[in-house]
Amino acid sequence: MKVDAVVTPTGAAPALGPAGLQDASQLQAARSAAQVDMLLDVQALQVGLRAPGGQIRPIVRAAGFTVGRGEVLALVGESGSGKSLTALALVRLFGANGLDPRLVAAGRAWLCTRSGERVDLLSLGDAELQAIRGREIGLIAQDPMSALNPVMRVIDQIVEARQRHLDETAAQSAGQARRLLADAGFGDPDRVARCYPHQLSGGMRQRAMIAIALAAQPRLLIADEPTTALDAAVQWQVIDTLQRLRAQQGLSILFISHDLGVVSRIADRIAVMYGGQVVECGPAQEVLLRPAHPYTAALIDSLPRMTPEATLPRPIPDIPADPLNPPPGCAFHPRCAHARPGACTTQVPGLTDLHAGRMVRCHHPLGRPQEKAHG
Amino acid sequence: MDDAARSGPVAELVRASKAYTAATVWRGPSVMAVREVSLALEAGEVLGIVGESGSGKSTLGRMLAGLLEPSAGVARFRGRDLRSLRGADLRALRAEVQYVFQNASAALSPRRQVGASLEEPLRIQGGLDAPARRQRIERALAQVGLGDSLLGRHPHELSGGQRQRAAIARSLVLEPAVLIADEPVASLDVSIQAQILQVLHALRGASGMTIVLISHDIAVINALADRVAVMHQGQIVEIGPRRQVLFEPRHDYTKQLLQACAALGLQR
Amino acid sequence: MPEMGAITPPRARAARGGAVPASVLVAAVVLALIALASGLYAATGSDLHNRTDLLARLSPPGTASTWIGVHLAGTDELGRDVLLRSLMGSAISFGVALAGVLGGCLIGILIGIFSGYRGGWVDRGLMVVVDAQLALPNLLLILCGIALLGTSVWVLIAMISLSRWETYARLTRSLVLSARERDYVDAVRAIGGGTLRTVFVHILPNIASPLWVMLTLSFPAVMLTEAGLSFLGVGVQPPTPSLGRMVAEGRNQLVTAPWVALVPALFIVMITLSVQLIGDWLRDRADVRARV
Repeated sequence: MKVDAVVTPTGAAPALGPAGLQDASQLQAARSAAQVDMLLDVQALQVGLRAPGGQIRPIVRAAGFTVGRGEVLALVGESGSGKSLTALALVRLFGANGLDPRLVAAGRAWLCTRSGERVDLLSLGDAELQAIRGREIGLIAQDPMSALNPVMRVIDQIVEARQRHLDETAAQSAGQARRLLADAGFGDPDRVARCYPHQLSGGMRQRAMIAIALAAQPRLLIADEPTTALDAAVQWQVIDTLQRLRAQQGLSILFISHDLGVVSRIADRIAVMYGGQVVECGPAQEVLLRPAHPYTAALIDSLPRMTPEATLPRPIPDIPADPLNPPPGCAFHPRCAHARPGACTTQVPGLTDLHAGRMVRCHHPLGRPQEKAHG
Repeated sequence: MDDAARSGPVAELVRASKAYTAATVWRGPSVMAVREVSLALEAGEVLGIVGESGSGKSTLGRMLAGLLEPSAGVARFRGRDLRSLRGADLRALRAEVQYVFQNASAALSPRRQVGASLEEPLRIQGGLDAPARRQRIERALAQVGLGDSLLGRHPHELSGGQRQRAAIARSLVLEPAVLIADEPVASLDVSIQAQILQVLHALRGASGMTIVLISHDIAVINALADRVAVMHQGQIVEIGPRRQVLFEPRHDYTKQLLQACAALGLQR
Repeated sequence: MPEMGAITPPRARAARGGAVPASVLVAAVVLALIALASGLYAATGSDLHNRTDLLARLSPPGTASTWIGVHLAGTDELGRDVLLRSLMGSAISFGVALAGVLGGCLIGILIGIFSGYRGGWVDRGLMVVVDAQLALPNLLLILCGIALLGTSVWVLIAMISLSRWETYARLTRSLVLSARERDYVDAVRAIGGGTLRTVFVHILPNIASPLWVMLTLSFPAVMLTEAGLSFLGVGVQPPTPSLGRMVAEGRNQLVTAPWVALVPALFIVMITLSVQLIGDWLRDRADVRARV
């Protein structure tokens, strides 16, 4: 139940006890030197749908990104981009409708656990994954009303999470629960703790979910569209909470969203997904101000702006590509204003390094800052 | 009388309120969704109504459209009290004021072909033969940038953006003078939202239609509106020209709302 | 909120709800056979099921017969062929139950729609009537009605309808109440539609699914009610055969000639069980589609 046994990447027998861990952590220390504080390292992640016939149709192809310690990476995309699937594949909690046994994931997702081990999330068995969920990785789901148990008080849900992973008494858990609620920005944590989910407003429920997700002190938080269902003012509270927690505890966040406005406020780095692939990745301000991929640029242009001169946003023609049936070649080429005959229509572009930290998947990436029609 | 009516506001609410009571055997507690709101809608303008969810903006929109009767106060269209309209007059009103719902499936029944849903308003109103109806439908589709091929399909065969545009087209077949759009882009993908905003913009330009745009997204309002009304807990706390309300706000709540949005806005 | 990309391809979704379980198929076949056989027999207007043959009374199934070849289900105490009587009885029971269900549904659905859509005092008044009727036991109501109005088949059907309308009314009312709040109702009003159009062209098709299921599932109960009434002697009167009365009459010979009671009982079971299985499957399918 408690996390002491961890599968090492080489598949050796679980290292129990301080001696075993010491060896493993020495091994880890050597690797870490090259890794530079990488909490999560996803390589070549694929998520597919197993058709009734048996063959697997890929939805997410070759997604790769990293999340450093204390860093916020935003996974940005529209519906059908595969962003939610990608993040949920890490903890194998699939689908808006719960566990969907037809979804399969492959690839490598290296997580650096608190004990210093590097584990591949995608190759863990169920029991090991259960130990990871909550303790190493916390999850905030999209809809707080259905993710919170309606018949349990908030404090009970936090205590449950803590008792699952930590060795402490119920009273200690309860005390910590109140502290967690205060950290989540509640001015009256005692009152909120005793509430049932339906007694809280949308924003409060979302923050209660944050408290529950962080109950067992994970170092990585996966937030799946946490602000989508909320009003602007309340969104701000939730973002504020997350930023504070990041500053206080060095929390890393994998933030999934379609809302570039929210993302611009909280993300350190952005990975843009389209048609089941990562098409651009880099520091947040860089990607937003100088997008290298035509889709990112078009997406930014299609947002209504808060400028005194009323400018109409420019839509991207057609509809987002279906990841199950992408167009040949580059998935974005039918809608791309810069597409040229040749490689764009025939070859799937690979991920190329632009310069330190920036990657783009495009045959003809945008080289210089875009001229905008408005100031 | 008619001329006077035409020179005045095309629609207005005078100290209108709407209260909802819990329907139990005895009268339950009531919620004031809208309190004593007075609003005049001028012909040809785009009025943006912005506010949080629960602020009463949808209720306000429905009162303007005559879909909800105010519990107190008056709702008028072209000078006539909506409450006094019956039968044929009420039907005529419907042809002049159209409402676009957030969820396109409200207008497009999933069981029918899109063409049948688009034709229904014309059938109800009567007075046009089949070729004339067809013409109206085609014109409406052109206004939203859709082709004829959709008419034979069912709503679930269309994309989200196409559905919303078809729903708008249904509102247009009656050639209304006023279009009230309630969160028309809220449920759509970001890149598709821009398509709908372009449609609304074109409508206002081409036919001089009066549009009321209700949204919780201030940036959307900023893209289209001439005048902006800010709603909070059932009341209009501030109303005025767009630039003034959104960039030189006077009311505290407006400032608060803009703060939250500005914090999330892309400053480019 | 933008929709999640369709992870489940439409084909897969249909498959989940499309596979018909074997039990339902068997039930459908059984039901179809019985309906066909009894319907054809009743349509011929033949009187063979009343033909007595006292010499062959209480003969076990398979006995050779003087007039029909072989008595497949034996004969009763008057020498009448049990199978033919069962078939005729099925036709009668079917007919009475169907008429009763349809009559009850018609009254109940109309009242439910009226009550749910209008709301206010009309609604409250009607629901008080519904609650009052719920307090009275069904069978007692029907017996009173029959005692007052006689035992003709039409009275039977009318009483059965009246005893069940409140179930349909309540379900319809709650469906209409929630449908009334949906945007599409406002959308119809927005284009000038009146109450009739809103209710019958828009609301009714949308709530039809659970209504159909309710109809199907109440059929067995009604059939059993009719069988029960006939068993008690106040249902369909002799010489018209009725499955319930045949069971009652066969009680005396249960030990010596069990087939007289068991064959009609078997018919009752087959019919009601088949309809129940099909109704359950329909309801599950409706749920799946509604959820998806």
